[in-house]
Amino acid sequence: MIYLDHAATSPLRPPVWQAMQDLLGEADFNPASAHSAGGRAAEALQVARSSLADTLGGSRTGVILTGGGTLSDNLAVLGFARANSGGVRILVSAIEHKAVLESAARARSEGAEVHVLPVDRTGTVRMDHAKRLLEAADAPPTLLSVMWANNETGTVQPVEELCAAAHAHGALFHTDAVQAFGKLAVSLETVPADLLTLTAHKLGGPVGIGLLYRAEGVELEPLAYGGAQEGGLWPGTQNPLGACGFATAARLAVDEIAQTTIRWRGLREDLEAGLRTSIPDLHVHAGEAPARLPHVLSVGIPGCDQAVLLTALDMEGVAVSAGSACNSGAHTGSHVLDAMGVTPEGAYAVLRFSFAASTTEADVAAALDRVTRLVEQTRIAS
Amino acid sequence: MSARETSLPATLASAEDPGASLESVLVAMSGGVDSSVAAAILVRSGHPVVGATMKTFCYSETSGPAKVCCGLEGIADARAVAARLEVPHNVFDLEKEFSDDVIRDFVAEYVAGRTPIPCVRCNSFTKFRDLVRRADALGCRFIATGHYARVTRGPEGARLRRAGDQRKDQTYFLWGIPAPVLARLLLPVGEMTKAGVRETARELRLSTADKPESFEICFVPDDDYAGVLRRHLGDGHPALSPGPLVLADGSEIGRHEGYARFTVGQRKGLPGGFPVAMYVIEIVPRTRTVVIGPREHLASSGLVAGRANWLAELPETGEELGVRIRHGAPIVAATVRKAEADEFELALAAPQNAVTPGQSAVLYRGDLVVGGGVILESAKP
Repeated sequence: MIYLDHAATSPLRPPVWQAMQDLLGEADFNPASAHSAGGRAAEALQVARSSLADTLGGSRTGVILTGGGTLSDNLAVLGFARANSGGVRILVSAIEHKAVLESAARARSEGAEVHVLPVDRTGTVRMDHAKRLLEAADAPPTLLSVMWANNETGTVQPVEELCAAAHAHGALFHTDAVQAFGKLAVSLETVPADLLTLTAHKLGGPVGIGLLYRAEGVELEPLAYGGAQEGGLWPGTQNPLGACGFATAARLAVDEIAQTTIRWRGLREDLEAGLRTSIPDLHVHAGEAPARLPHVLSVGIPGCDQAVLLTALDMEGVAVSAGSACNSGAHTGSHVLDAMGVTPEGAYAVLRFSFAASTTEADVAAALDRVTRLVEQTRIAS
Repeated sequence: MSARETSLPATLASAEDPGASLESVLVAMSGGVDSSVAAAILVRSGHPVVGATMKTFCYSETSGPAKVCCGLEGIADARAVAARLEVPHNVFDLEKEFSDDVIRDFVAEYVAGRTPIPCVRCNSFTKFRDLVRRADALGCRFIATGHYARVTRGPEGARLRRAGDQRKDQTYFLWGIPAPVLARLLLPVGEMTKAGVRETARELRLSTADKPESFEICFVPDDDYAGVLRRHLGDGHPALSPGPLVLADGSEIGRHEGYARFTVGQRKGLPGGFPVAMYVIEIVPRTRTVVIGPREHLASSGLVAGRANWLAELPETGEELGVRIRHGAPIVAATVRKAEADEFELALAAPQNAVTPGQSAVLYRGDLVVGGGVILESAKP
């Protein structure tokens, strides 16, 4: 199998697996238990927490371990809205993950004022719009939520500028850095976000664990109740093995970033150039964006049925996705491409390729060869 | 043990065209047990198989932030079975095609005072025409489904025949398949009984083995077809507005709440107080009239059918054939009065009750499906 869908889930990396295995029988206990087994679990959890805080350039007390990226985004947006009973404003970009968009919609139904920021053709948030909205006088407490980089197209957002603008107007800034972390230099030192979302399974860590980083003083209302874990903000028995896997994967990604990003950029450019040559009417989504994720390439192929092409690729052992994995299975239109003004007439197949450290030149060459052939085949037939 | 290693009973070995054994097959997988077993049999017989679930409409037109259909149970079941069989699977979004060809027709037929069978339209258009297009694009020579019917191949070409299990026979819903598609259609469970299908599914440890059967029209939740009509037509539409309820002699005996709520032969929902049970005899959309009468008024001695489709040689005038006029009804003798490309007329050997406009009339020569059409009119004896 040629697996080029790491932005959906990147399988557990061997060193991560090894680190988790080392804790078996050692720390897979309840960290809240008073006995020494529980103590070892609590220690493993704290080691992982410190490591995660370090890789982010934050403090250990800011790390709220959750069940994953979607849950962290929910806690950030809804937790902020519900912590401010006098009403809030929430500004989100049109290309956010549904975890942010639907949390904002929920907050609106609970009385929050919600604005959606448009993006330009490259999928980049329009700074002028963001600033205009932030400038509103007499605004209630405001949260600006813009992802670090988009999961479907790879467009990197001007988060440093957005964070500064939010702070200049007394607003809080949340960023979903799920896709950016480990691929770009994601650090709270350069972007002092008030809230930041990460998840393990995009990094070759285990599914089912993520974090919300919360800067000191930021008030959140929990979404679930029944325990004091994670400062009461994410109650329930904690997951030391998951945390260890998460921290190991994050550390690896950050340690390797200088090499991997250069390699990915090369692979992406080769793939993009190859596809442009073999498919002259190819669209590269976010092709002109000022900054793109090095490991993601999203293209549109006119005149091709998306499900047919994906099936044909799957039949030949190539795993890619149509964009967000959450949409697949039904292939509904992408809200991200809609927001960018990509409105094709007729059939249009979107393919998203995404790489990991394990991706080789041979993988990319084989994918290019098969996509080229199958686009031709499926076009002729339909 | 993977499905490929599981031994199937010898009787299940593919009896299809042996020359086809290595051609790839696109299998329509609904997530139900029949299509799951169909896929399993094809895998077992050596065909390269690819599974496809057709998403034909969105289950939630109103509620919920996330589209519920993305998590449809059927899609998840089909995916799980495909994974178990180690074959690729994908979802084909045919919402627009299904809406145009099936749902719109369903609504229009009720407005015209008829009682449609949307499954016939779906089989004629969505399942076969639209699926074949995708099979072409994927380089699959064959398509397959889990229907209970058989396709035989001989010098005269491919022929559709009744299922091995007469009680499960689904040819009543399959007469509209475009004739050229038959040659490319495989129906692997057509020789099997439902019990045999379930047993095979259990042997293969398919997760869908004991899934209950669904008899509802897929896009009509809770059998509330009037609700579907209301959503598409609006409340004030003539088909859903009050009109006269009359006896055969024209005398008005009451009002009804919309003629589209009635079906010829229906007994439920009619006023009581008559010495004998009363039935819907006729629906007249132009005047919104629903005619009711005693059971003997339901009898018909013949019928006219339109939108005909032929899957074998056209019958000759005067030929005696079998006809089924309702799902589950017995096949009865009829004489062909006229048979043309689009239309046919039959005289029934014995009068039949409730020959209902909109339902199908399917013609059989023994177990061979000759063709079928949509009943337009019934002839009174």
